[in-house]
Amino acid sequence: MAAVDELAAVAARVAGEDAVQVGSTAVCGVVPAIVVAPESVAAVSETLRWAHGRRLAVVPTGAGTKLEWGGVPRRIDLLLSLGRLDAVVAHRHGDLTATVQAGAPLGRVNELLRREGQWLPLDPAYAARATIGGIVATNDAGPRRHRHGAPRELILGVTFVRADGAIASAGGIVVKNVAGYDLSRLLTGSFGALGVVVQATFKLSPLPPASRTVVAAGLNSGTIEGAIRAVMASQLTPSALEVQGPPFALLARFETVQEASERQAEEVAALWRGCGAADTRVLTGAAETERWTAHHDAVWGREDDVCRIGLLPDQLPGLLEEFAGLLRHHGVDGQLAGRVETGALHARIGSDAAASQSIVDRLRLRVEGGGGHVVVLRGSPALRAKVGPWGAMGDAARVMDAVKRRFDPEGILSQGRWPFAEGRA
Amino acid sequence: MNIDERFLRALRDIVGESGLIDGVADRITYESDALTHLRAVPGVVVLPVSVPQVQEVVRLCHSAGVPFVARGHGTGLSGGALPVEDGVLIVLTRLDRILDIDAPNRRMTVQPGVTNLEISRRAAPFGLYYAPDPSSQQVCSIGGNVAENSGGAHCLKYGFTVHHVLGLELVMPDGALVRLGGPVPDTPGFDLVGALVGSEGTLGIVTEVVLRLLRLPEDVRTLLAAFPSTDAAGAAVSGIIAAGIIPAAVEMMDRLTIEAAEAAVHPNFPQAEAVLIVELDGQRAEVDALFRRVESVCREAGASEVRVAADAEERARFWTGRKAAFAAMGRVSPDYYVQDGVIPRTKLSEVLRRIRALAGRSGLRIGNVFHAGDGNLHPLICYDGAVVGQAALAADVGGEILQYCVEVGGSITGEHGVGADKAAHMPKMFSEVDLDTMQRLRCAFDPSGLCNPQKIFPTPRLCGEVPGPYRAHPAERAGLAERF
Ligand SMILES: Cc1cc2nc3c(=O)[nH]c(=O)nc-3n(C[C@H](O)[C@H](O)[C@H](O)COP(=O)(O)OP(=O)(O)OC[C@H]3O[C@@H](n4cnc5c(N)ncnc54)[C@H](O)[C@@H]3O)c2cc1C
Repeated sequence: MAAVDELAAVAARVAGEDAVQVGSTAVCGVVPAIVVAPESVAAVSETLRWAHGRRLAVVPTGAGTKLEWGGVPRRIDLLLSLGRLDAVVAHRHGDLTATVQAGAPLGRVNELLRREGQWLPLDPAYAARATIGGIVATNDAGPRRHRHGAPRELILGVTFVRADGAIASAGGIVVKNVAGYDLSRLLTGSFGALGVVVQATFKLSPLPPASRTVVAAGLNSGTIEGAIRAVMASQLTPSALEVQGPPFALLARFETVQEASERQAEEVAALWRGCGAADTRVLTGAAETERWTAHHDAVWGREDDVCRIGLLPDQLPGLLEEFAGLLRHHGVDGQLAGRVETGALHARIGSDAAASQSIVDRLRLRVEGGGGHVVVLRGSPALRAKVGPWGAMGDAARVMDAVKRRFDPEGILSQGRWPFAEGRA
Repeated sequence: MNIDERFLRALRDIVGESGLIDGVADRITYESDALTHLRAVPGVVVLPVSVPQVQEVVRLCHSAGVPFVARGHGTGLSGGALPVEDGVLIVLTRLDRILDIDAPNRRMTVQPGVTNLEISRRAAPFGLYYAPDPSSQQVCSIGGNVAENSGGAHCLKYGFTVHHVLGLELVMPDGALVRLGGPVPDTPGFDLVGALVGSEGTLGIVTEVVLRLLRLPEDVRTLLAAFPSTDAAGAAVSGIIAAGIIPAAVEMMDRLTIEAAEAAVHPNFPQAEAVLIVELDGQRAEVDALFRRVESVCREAGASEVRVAADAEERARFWTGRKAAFAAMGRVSPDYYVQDGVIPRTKLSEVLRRIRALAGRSGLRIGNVFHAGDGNLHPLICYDGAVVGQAALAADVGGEILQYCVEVGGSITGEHGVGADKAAHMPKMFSEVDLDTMQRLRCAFDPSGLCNPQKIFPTPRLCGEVPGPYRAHPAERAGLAERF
């Protein structure tokens, strides 16, 4: 305890009296010694410089919606909150770009951008609360990824604080730029292991004038395969094309000018009915919004174990069947939701460690042969210890290890998130 | 180390007689890329035909301490493939096979020497294509595209090379072979594919590329609009974006480049201070609705003429005029220097005004073609190499234009890369810490600094020891308290 008090006292001198808090909820069962929430980029830099000198284990955090994802932190001396760095620094609407601080919640950012008829077209898990920094660090994306891509597709530049406290930038504020290495993308999806993102610039999109969603419900594995094929072979241009279940439903969203949105919705509805999807409806307005909220909550609405699955799109129908079978076999109430054409899915698999372990093993067996993967985002430390959160990483792991050592030679950032550069600090 | 007889023999053992060029007259062919004023004759040139050959060549260089440079088709415009005089130039044009076309999953796996256009050509029977379309697409290699993160006219809507590369096979600078990413998205781990694309051949040699293909759009509509000034054309671009429309392409040419294109390929462009080519593609109902809006935005912005391509042939003619613009400068000037800078689109008139003033001051004519939607300028600086001092003046003028770009928040390169040409300009955009941080990535891949050295960075960084595993001090192992 004395040690923690001393740590807090020093942290207060470094980051400011009001920036330090002792005690916090545990992260994957690991209790952070102190929480530091600096009020400026300079203070983040000072804090890291100090932590680096003392080899303190640091884990950056925003709203904490994805703090549990990935490997279990080995130790947290300092939970570094970016929550006070929450400004929208610039919205250059004529250029369709915005620069935002890491702690700004996406919901609030988009409220501001909306004033000019634009938005940052990301719909990650917990989209309203999730902060820009956390979204970048996890490269988390939702249904609109189909059209707009994941954060790595939209990021133009980044400013981050290195493990040693130095403030570095890469990329810029223009949509096209190949000067220097693309550290923005390197940082995106690095789960806070290479640097602490304090600010990022993104390409924006105009808000779509109209939206329609077509839902085909109650599909069996036969009809679902046909229905997916039909829409992929068509000339329709949805902004999202999702599967959810079991029982499985397909969702296609059309966000464009009114006429095109209506016409495409009708077209896909007819296609799907032709494939035997009897229960196919076109939604708009509040009913549409509600359906997408339900889609999000199907996976994220409970505190269950959640995996991220990547696979080739043509492996999807087989996976759906196996997933439903596994849930039945283990008597688990789970749900899967994901991008049909991208091959990026999220699966909630209950919270029974033994069942989860078996499900993850079986899913890995199915997809890894085809180059796919199953990552445990959320799950008990026991589950993660058993199955390994990331799965096989192949020969690239060696290079990632080297990158980690160069960016964080003392190994203070997000220890344990990744199996790289272990055995330090 | 220098290249000696023993080294050459070892190289020959790897690539065979037909894969090695060591005669000086032949080596001179490779002294530059398309930025011809930067030249260096490579010590030796190899043309491997297999990945194991690439690996062995690199391994040999690594153990002998000989620098090496990868080269694709040599169309780069920043001296990225500029050889090292005492080094090996590894030419990848013979690795030119399409390895796999997975039409159901819209993926293609290719070797680095395949040309950009060939990919789309081979995808076309499946109703698919590869989106990034540099003007040099008939001749540039996908390996070069990956290295430069190349763009093209249609990148406004569809993104750049980095948005379409899913996986890479890489020969590391020590000769090891690794796979980064893959056909499936979100491969666990750091986004090394994202970091590799655009790294200009400094992190290793790409030997295989997994690409994402797109479905050919249902409808494509193209118009050519003539404007009384570049400002008016710029206002039309802003108007289109403000209307919430993201065209597939928006390209602008000014009077000088229109004249040059007309002289070279006769696209029959209208006589005007500026023309815009605007292309929309996608689903028919959507394209219909938006195209009408684009036409009226152009007219409101003062277009004196709006031509809509009646058919594929007329569309192709519009694009021939645009894509020939660089080469066409040869018709109006003995020499020209292609500059590549980026500005926020809204700063277009301000920057063009400064460029015009600069042209007047320097006495050099400057043509402008740009990817107007992206704010990516390509000033074409005309000079006469035979006049003493003009080449140097052109380079200075180019540097000054980059300064303008940076001053308004832009970039010193949008698609051609930093290479050897712009390394000295990097500090205009990045601090010493920024550059040092980037070089940490380089050190992770290439601690001995042999892979395409002297590119990108104004001052190379010595990497030092690879930080080894940290061993805790015994006192530390005692517990948390000891470390404070
Ligand atoms: C007329 C003309 C028009 C152009 N238009 C455009 C345009 O519209 N958009 C655009 O972006 N560019 C354009 N370019 C520039 C050029 O075509 C691109 O940069 C292209 O990607 C270079 O490909 P290349 O095969 O010629 O590469 P090279 O010039 O041979 O090499 C370029 C760089 O790539 C590296 N490299 C090559 N192959 C590999 C490999 N396998 N592994 C690792 N590194 C490798 C080299 O070391 C070098 O740094 C144009 C050039 C010309 C001459």
